[in-house]
Amino acid sequence: MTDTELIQGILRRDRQAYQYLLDTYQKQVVKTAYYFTGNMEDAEDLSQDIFLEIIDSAASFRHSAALSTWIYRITVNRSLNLIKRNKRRDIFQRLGTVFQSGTDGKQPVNEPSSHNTATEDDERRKLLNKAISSLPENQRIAFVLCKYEELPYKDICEVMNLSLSSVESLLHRAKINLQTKLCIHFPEFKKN
Amino acid sequence: MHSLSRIQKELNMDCTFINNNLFALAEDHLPATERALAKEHIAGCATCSARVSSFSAIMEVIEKDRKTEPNPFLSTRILQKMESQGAAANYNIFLRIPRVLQPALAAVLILLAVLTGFFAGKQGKQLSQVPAYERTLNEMKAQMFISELNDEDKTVELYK
Repeated sequence: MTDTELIQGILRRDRQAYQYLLDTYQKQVVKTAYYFTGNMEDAEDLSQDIFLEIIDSAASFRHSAALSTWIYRITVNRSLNLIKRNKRRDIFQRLGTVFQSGTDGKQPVNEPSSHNTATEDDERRKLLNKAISSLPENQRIAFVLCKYEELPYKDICEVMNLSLSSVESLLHRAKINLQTKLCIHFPEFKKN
Repeated sequence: MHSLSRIQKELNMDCTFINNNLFALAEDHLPATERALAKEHIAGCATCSARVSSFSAIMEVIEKDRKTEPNPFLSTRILQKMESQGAAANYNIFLRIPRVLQPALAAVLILLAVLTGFFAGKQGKQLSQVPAYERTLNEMKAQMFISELNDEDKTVELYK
């Protein structure tokens, strides 16, 4: 089924088209959302909203880019919106904690534990997610699409609507920033 | 001579170079000469060795995350939602209108509702006033009629 046929099927509200859309893009959507949010439950809930948006706005799909690129754009935007919403919620929760208990509302920083691999991986994942989420938005998108999604630079350019040199520069800066941010958490990373 | 010293300077392997190229080392993106020199340095430097292995461990998390699979039953749930939304859109006239026009239509409907409320309120006020006025008038007329009747009765009695 081509992109055009799929879109026409979606517009006709054809069940087979829905099924094909899910079979083809569900993994991509859930995984991308997971890479951005760092939480599988959030990613799965978000993927539901993303697919509803896809069938809702299928009429507005312009065939200038591939359908997968368009779906990537929706997924990235939705994921970033969720992250912003969660950040706002966290700020309000922290404020609530401050007013209720009189503390500064900061969570104790967990140092990497050396007890077992799963815990170590979880700690590393937390640190990495924290570092990635603190990157500027464009750097974060470029990094996630490149490192997690393993998209070719050309596709990243299309998803982000940027030139190749801009994407390369964003990725370079993202890597430098991540190295610096991770150095804060690991004593052995600290520069001499 | 100048270019030779530049190359030597570029290839001068130290902890700063390792620190600045952790990504390139983890991804194995360094040119062959630099990679060989970096490996030599890491083998002899405990701090750099620890840095590189910690960084590689963090990068392995990306690899592990990439293998994470979503819930296999998720597609059934999403498909049901999509179908129910599709069915709702078929019945809901509002959803069949192009998305661009939906806010405009919503604004018009809200305006109509406000105007209807305004005029209904005005009408209600008038309606509630009219019966009171008419009631008072009718009461006055009734009293006058009764008093006229009473007067007539008295006159009749006088002539009896």
